[in-house]
Amino acid sequence: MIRRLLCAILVTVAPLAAQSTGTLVGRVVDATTDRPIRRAEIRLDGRLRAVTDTGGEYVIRGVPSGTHRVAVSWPGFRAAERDGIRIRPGEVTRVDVRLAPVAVQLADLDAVGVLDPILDPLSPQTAQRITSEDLRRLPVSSLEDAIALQAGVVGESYRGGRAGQQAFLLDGFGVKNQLDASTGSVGIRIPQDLIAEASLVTNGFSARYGQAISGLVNVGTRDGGERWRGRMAYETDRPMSGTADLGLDRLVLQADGPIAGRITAVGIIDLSARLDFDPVNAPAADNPRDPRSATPRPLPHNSGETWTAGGKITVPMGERFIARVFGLQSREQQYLYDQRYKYDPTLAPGRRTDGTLLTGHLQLLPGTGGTPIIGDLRVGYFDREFVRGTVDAPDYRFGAFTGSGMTIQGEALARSRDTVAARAAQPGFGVPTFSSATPWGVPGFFLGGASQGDIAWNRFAELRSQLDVSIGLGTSTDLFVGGMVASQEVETFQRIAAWRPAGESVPGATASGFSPTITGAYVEAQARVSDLGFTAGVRYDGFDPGGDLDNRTLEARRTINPRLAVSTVLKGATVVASIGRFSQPPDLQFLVDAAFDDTTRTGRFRQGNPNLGFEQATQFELSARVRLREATSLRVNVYTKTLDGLVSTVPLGVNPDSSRFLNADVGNVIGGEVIFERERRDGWGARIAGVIQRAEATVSNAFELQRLIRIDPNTGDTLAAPARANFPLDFDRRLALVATLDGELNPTAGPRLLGVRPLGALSAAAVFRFGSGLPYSRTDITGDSLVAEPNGSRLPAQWTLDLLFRRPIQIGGMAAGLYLDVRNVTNRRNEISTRRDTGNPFASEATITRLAEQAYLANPQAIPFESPRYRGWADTNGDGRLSGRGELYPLYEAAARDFTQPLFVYGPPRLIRFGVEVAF
Amino acid sequence: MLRSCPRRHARLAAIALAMTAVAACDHSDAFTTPDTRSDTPRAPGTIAQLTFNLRPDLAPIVTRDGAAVLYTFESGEADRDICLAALPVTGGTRTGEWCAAELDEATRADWFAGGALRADGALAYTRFGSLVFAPIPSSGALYVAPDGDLTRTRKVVDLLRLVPGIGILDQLVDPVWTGPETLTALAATANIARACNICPWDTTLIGRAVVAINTAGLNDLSVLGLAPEADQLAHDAGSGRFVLRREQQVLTMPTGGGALTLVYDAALETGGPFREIPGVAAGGGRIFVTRRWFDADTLRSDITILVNGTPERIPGTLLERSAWGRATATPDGRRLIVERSEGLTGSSDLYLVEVPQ
Repeated sequence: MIRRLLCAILVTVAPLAAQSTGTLVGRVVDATTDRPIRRAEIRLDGRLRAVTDTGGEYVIRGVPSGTHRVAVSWPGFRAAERDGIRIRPGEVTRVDVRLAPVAVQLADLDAVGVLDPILDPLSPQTAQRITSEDLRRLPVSSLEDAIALQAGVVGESYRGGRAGQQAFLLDGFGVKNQLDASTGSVGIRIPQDLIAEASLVTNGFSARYGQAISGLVNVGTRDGGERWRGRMAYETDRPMSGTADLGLDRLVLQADGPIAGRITAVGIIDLSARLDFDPVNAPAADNPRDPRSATPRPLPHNSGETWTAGGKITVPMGERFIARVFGLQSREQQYLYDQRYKYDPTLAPGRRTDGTLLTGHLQLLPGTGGTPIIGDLRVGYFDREFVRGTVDAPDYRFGAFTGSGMTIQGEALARSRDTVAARAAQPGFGVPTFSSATPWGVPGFFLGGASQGDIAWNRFAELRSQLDVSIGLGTSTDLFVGGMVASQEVETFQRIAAWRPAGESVPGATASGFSPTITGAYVEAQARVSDLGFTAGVRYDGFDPGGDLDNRTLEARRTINPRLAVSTVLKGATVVASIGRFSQPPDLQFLVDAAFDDTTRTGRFRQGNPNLGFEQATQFELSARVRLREATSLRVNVYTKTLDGLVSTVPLGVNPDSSRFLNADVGNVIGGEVIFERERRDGWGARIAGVIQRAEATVSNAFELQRLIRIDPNTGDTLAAPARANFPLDFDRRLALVATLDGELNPTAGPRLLGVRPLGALSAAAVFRFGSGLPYSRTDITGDSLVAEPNGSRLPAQWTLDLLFRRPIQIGGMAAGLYLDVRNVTNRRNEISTRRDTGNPFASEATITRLAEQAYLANPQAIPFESPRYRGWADTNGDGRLSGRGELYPLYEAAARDFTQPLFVYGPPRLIRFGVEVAF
Repeated sequence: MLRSCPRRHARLAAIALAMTAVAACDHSDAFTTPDTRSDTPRAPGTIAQLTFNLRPDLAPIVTRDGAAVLYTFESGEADRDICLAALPVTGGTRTGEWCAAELDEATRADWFAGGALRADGALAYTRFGSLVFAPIPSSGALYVAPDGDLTRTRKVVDLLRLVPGIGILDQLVDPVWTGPETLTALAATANIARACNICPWDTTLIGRAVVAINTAGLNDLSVLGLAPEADQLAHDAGSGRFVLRREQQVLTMPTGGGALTLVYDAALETGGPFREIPGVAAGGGRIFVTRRWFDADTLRSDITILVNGTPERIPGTLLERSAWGRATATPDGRRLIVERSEGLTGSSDLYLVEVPQ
């Protein structure tokens, strides 16, 4: 066993080389004598890929992740073959073979094993894997759901980093929304059924990867199989009633198989829609006149739909080349509920995000002799377009499906980026007025008549070329070299209150168009000396915003990022120490004068800074991995990460509402992770991941520091917070715990009812999540002055319990299944944000009184019977008009109370979905 | 493999059918906005008060289909804007409100002086603007807004200008749709004056002609007939005539145009006090006249139907210390919407009067 392990370690080339491939190793022996067989032929998926050496050992590098068929043959012996060998990206899979002489009857393949990733000392990464089996067995419905189960993840934040500080790799190809990753989505969605395996790397990842300082999400997609197969599934919550029916419909169609010769294809369509796309578990309204008192869910004008279609064609070219063409198109469009338009919901805005990804991948596989070389040449085009603004009322065709693309008013103007034409009042936009459709009638708080008239549009496109080469140097050293260049194109446009001409109170439209370039190159070596494994690499990152930004030539920014890891095995535990420096270019949105759907935090008049440089991090991690028993393992990681050059908004002059982006802040993340795992055996598996962490940084944010006024009790002087003091980062979750448990009953389990065993083969999975509260800043009642340190307060802790039950069934000989997926089983009301002035979701009585008083004084006029604002029940003197403070003020107060109801400060409620699936 | 395909397809179809069956169920609806509107008066009756505005509600005009009445009301804003509203002819909640809403509207007095709704929702309206508190408008025009959407409004006739054949055109009074693209209105000149230096400004309209307006064009007017001194126009499609009001007279004109015919002259009435006729209306072949007079220093007023040139009071319409004003009738003549004010100078509200048949 030890010899096999050492051999595998010595020949490990692929783990970091190509994250979409793995390595297959093994030893072939004579079953009757246990002597190694020399020159035995190893065929992978029917192709000769290796022959054994004198010790009977073989190595096949660059095996695409997924399942494969392995066959071993040698004259005089019975050929051995086994299908379903799973190759994981970056891992070594071991298949040992005992060949029987022709006259002897023996099992085909005697041993199949995976080189233990827990103990693999040449795997310096802290990788948490998500297999297609996990995606199927656990109550998750997207890759994002699955990643959120991993240690150190808070939403899209990894190890305390800001959203967008991670990189995303699809089959080894980098995909990133460089424009507004911190506030926007990637733009493409990877359907679950397309994923072979995904992993999250949060520590010193290979020098091969840039554009990230917090983490790396690596997704491997499946290739088509040798015979046609597929899956069709439909999910819904229609059988539920009342508030449990949120209008979900989801249809998934997936098929793969050969299309000609050895050419295979995978195709998928994933359509999903929900009438309450962004459901909240807010309490029902107290006032019986409020429609939310009777129907707290779903919210109107809150529907959304996602359409994703993708496909992949794999073309083997001879014995050493494989070409792959991958395409994916996603559209996500959502009608956005806006409390201001609660009673005229169709006037609230909508947004649409379209993403397109086309990649070509030519892979060179190693031959059976000579220096093993794996080469990956990838070329891809990624396009993401975002638009937000006034939309027509949705025309639902089926559930929440509209069947057509959302039309945003003013989109043509936005695409033209004509800021001169945009100065005029734009046709088609009405004037928003106070709604008369409220139960309270009075003109205040709630809007109607027309939309706000905002238009926000941006487009990011990138043509990326990427070359990665892995070279095996002898049996103890591997070398990785490569580089990438990405030509990007950015276009933005923003206009507010389009029904008014730009002028004194309405800023002119902002637009930009420029072409940045991102480059990268790396060299990395991995070697084993005695019991020590070394990984050393250096990466060059370059970022040039392009000469067409800001009408002047800007200098390119460059950075060198070394990475180093040392690993060894100590008393059965693998210990890895790694240190690395990571750099990522800033969000391109920070370079231009626009705010991209993020106007509440720092104001609308933010000045972009074309001279922004890299955001950087240096992380040191010490990890120990140990296998407690055959099926259980424990991983402990401790890390410290210094952050430098974080982009922040810095006051511009004396106006705190006006700011400029700078690489101004520095910070530190320190923490530890403990991951206990019991592999899925004997029908059940479990995993517990716990994190203790502290993430802090300086705060140069104009919105916060400039309004944090403190008076020195001795001198009476006004004090500002110390410039370099650290405060918690927004995603500073100090304590987190995720526990998963899944199991499957025997097909003969349970009593037989009417000839069927209802519990037979039933599988169940539970996910429990706990997280301590995230920080937030307290303000005064006006909301524009801090009353405590930035992020000095904490939300309550959150926890949820999710369950999934799945029961396979046979329908006419076809494998099918039924499943019930319940999220937040206990319907816990988790606070995910809060009011900054009260520290809880509710406005204070003083706030409500102040708002009501202001609204009443602004419109104290009487409301006659014929007015749509007249409410007979409020006409206490019965004179046919609402007049005077006695009749009007209670209405304004009720409206203020309604308007300040907390909604999106709560997480989702219990979500239930029924599913039926068929494999064909 | 091939043999199993048909069966497999059949199974797939069955499963798809089952999925479709599940999908056929409806989803729960989101909460909906409570409907607080009504289409009945606050206190129904033969005579019912329709509007309760503290400020004047004036110039009612029933739409050609008889479903709604358009009138003007004061918004109560500091800039003293006058808006246009549509109300179900049976009363209740306004179904439409049109007020000035431009960015700089608060710097001006904007007023809508009259409107006509077409069956497809197109709104024709006259609109004037002036400096706040200035008595004389500095701009005015007749507009048409498709679907009643003021953001897509289009100017049809410039007002406050000299029009050949008509003279000074200050106002188009009581517009009514008489064809798909044709409006008919009384073209008038406004005489703005005040009786004394501290008296409020008053506007007196002096009729010039009944004109047909091609709303597809700009300033495309044609004179149907001259109507000197008239200041109100009613259209009775049933009898094919216009009814016009002068200070003491009621006259008619064929809808195709032509000469005026005097049908009632209050000055010729004998016996009793002098009676003004603040309003005329027409519908169902009948002509309605509101009257007001002082009887021993007590203001009185009533609503009458002209029968062979003689006014006959509609029962229950005699008022004391209150006065009826301008009126409009539904096309079938069964209902009247009439201004009513307390005294001669009090604020005016609209009332519904059910006409006995």
